[in-house]
Amino acid sequence: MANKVVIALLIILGATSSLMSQPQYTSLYVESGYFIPSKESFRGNYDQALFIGTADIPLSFGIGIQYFVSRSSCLYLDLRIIKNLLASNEDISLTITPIVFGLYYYLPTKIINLGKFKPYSGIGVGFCRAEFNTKYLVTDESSPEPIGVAEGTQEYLGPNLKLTLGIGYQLGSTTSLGIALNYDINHTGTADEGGLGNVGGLLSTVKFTIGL
Amino acid sequence: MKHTFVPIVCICLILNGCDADTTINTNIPETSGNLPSQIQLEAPYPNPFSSTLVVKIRNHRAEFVTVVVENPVGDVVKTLFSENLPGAGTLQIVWNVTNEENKTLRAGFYFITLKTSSSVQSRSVKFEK
Repeated sequence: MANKVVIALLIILGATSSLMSQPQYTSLYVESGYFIPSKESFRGNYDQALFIGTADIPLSFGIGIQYFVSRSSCLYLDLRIIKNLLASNEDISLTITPIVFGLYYYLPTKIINLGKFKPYSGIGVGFCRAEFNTKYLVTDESSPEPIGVAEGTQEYLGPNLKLTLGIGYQLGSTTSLGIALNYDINHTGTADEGGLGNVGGLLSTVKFTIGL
Repeated sequence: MKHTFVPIVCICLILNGCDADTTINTNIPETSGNLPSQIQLEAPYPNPFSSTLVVKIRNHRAEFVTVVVENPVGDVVKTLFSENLPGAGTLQIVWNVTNEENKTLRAGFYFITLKTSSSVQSRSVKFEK
């Protein structure tokens, strides 16, 4: 299954050499990736879907902004949409939307110099909203014969912690492309609290960044 | 109308995770013309539900079948049935909305999932207290 294959690399249009040499530089980025839930039951039941609609190509979508506060670090704020469809019934979906504020730290070239490649790590905190959507057959007490179709939604909220390892490649003076691995911990409450536990996991992403 | 395998067995089982609060009927008569070409999880009823939920499965041949209740992230909150079905017929399960610890579940959405060696089918259900 193509959608089961792990896309292990991120393409990041991210921090370029020019960004690195120009603190206070603000840039926007968009990213797309593949999500692997940490929870086995989640992994076993759901397939990742296109962030809007359905497609055989499983992709999440993210958008964010970053602001350099020093030569080697920037603050960031990003939002991701990770849509998952139940493998056995595509009328059922669980969409995860983390919103994270954090810090990226770029390894100074004095420590490691890879030319146009800029490795970095990051940490962030925020919150996560998970939304369960389903269509279900409405039945009465007498038989399984459906008398209608209804739609339902249930929301879950919880804290988020994000860890990132990535590397960017300079494309131009203000653009870059890169890959990254992100580990998201999204906790939506315990089952006793009516939550879903941890709906986080490993997200490999491709990211395009453009300076403003 | 020709009938296939017919004896009606109504039992409260304590088997493979099933408990005395889950009523299971197996091999309810089925006319051969009505048999599905593959095992079929019918729409659970009533849905939405507040006290008990009836789950019916129609099968066309002997097969090992597992029926579980899962929460929206896929955690199994209750195993309703995990047995070998002896032949064609209907399996009916009446579930009283308790989990494995016999605690009543929280209101919300769950799905009933049927698993065999060759297929997985799920139906979404809404529990309203």
